[in-house]
Amino acid sequence: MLEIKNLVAGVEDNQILNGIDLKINPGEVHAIMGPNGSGKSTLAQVLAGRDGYEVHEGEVLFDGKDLLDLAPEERAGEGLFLAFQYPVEIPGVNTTYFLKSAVNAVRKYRGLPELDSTEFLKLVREKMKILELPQSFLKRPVNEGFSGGEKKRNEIFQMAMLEPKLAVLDETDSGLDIDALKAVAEGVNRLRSPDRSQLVITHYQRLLDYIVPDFVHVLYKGKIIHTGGKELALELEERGYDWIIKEHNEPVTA
Amino acid sequence: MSTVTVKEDQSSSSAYAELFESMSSYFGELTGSEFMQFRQRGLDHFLKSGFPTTRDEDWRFTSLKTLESIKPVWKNTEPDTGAVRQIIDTLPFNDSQFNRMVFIDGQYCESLSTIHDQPEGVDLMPVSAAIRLGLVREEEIGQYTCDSHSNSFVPLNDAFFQDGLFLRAAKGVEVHKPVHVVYLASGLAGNVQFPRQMILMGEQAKATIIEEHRHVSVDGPLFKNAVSEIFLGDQSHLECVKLQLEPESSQHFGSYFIQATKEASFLLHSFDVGAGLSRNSFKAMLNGQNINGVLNGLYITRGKQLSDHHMIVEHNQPSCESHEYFNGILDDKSKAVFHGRIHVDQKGQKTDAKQTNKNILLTDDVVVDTKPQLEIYADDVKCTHGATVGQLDDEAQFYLQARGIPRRQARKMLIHAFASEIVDRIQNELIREQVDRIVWDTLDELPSLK
Repeated sequence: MLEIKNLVAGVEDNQILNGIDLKINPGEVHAIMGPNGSGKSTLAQVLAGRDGYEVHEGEVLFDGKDLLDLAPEERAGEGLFLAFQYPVEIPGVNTTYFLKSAVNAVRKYRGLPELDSTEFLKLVREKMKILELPQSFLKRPVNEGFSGGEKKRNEIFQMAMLEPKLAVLDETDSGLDIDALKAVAEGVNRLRSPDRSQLVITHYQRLLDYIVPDFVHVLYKGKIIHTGGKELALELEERGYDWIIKEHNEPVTA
Repeated sequence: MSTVTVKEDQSSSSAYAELFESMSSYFGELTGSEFMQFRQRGLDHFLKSGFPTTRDEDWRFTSLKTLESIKPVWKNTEPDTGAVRQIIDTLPFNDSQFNRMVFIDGQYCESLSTIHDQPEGVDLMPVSAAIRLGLVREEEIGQYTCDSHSNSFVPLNDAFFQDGLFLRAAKGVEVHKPVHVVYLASGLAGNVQFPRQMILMGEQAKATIIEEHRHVSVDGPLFKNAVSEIFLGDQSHLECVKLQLEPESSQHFGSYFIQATKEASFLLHSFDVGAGLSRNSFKAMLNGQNINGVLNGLYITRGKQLSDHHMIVEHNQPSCESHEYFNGILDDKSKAVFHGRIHVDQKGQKTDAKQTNKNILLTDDVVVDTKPQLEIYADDVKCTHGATVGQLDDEAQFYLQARGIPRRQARKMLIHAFASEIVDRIQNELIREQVDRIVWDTLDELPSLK
């Protein structure tokens, strides 16, 4: 589904990603962990197509298509979804109107008929239940005045509405209490299916108790230096990153 | 009537002296001999001062060269009501929900107007009719435009005023249905228009007005110079929406004077999207305690348009609140000027005055001159002002795109949200919805959003 080959990227002269290789197959959940400043969020932004990030080398294939060649909205249309670490407040744009525009833009891109108001509201009600969001939410401007937890729930709600093939969750657990974390994880897990994949970027192992990954990768200085199964997350929680970084810096010679 | 001699170098002034001559019999019919002295005083004043130049501080950023090149022409012609009716029928403000008063080339058109039955104490008619009925005497006109002589467009209007909305509401009366006033240019009666409005609200009276400036089909330049005098009695409430949709060949000047007394409240909205050059002056004099005034405006410019708002709010008594909110969206090589002066008299303790002017620039070639000005002579006041000039929020745009919304649509949504900050302050729901639609249509036409 997603194939990242030797991705080298950064902002202006500052190179942040130094050759990332990652392959995600349909149905798989991958976690990327790593210390601060290792490039986790940059990877998320580059995948979503944020302006200002320059790709110097490498390629990213999404279902065989050159992802880096597409505009952000086309990537969303192809089925990529980024749950933002810091969801943006957009005063003056009402949530219902925003969601309807997004859902119909994506449907149009995928060659599906646009939803009328009744169909749209039916879909909204269905998905809102999963995330236990209050109805009043829909009338408010996008993310404006939302608490940290509400913003993150809103991200997952949008994800549920847009039904992406690949969801990239950028530190979705940051700033959440345990109840909000469970609700968000529940929302994410409901979207798991054999043909959908998830890339979970996180600092802490906590989220991975609820969203159980198939693979855990350690990102350090813009490179994946270690890959393991779900048990790696627990090990990192106990032992920190130092031992892996040390192994990486001083490869064991037999 | 005295003859006026004019120095040769004042070519544009002399043209107005000639124009006055040619219109004098029309003025006689329109407002009678009683007003001739008032007109003459206005003319004399104008001939002496002429149009302001960019050397005048209040006109530094707004050149009147194009206006001065217009040779004013006026013809006494009956309006073509057939052509106008077609336009009127498409207007968004339905005459079953609104009183409608139509003025074509400055002249009242009764056959296209609808005035619903009003409660006792409401006089709603054209100014010319109010004069004929003796509701306005010579000494009453111009009494609210005091200290207007820094602005020579007012004496010019004094000299040439044609017609316009007259609304007087007695104590405690609410005007039945909002009043929709349309000032239409058809070009048939020449290229100059001088509307004059008088709105006199008695104690606790209430009214809602929408003033719309449009055109039928006009070739060549147009000069419109409107003056509005508003008096707000104790605890009266007025909401007034001005919608300026003139063609780019138009030079539009509008001067509003508001005199408010104790506990009055008013909202004045200015939606300025038309005309090659428009200058909107609002002067509010808060002459009683606890007045609440909102001046709220949106300008959207493109091509080589210039939109200029010039606001003066005078806090002459304690405990008044005034809020000015102006947002601008500029495209192509257009220009905007915002000048907001808040004057707090010694007596204006506990004044709460706020002023904001925000601008979004869609190209690198637009220019905004924004000039907030506070003059405070009282020591216990809360006055703030702020101005911003910037681009669209990149992060918000990316967020929308990341949800699949195409770039162009995302930009339009954000700009519309910015415009909505202003539109949403309209209290009358019918007017708000229609203005919103007009704003959307205008944004749709902006080259940068196509």
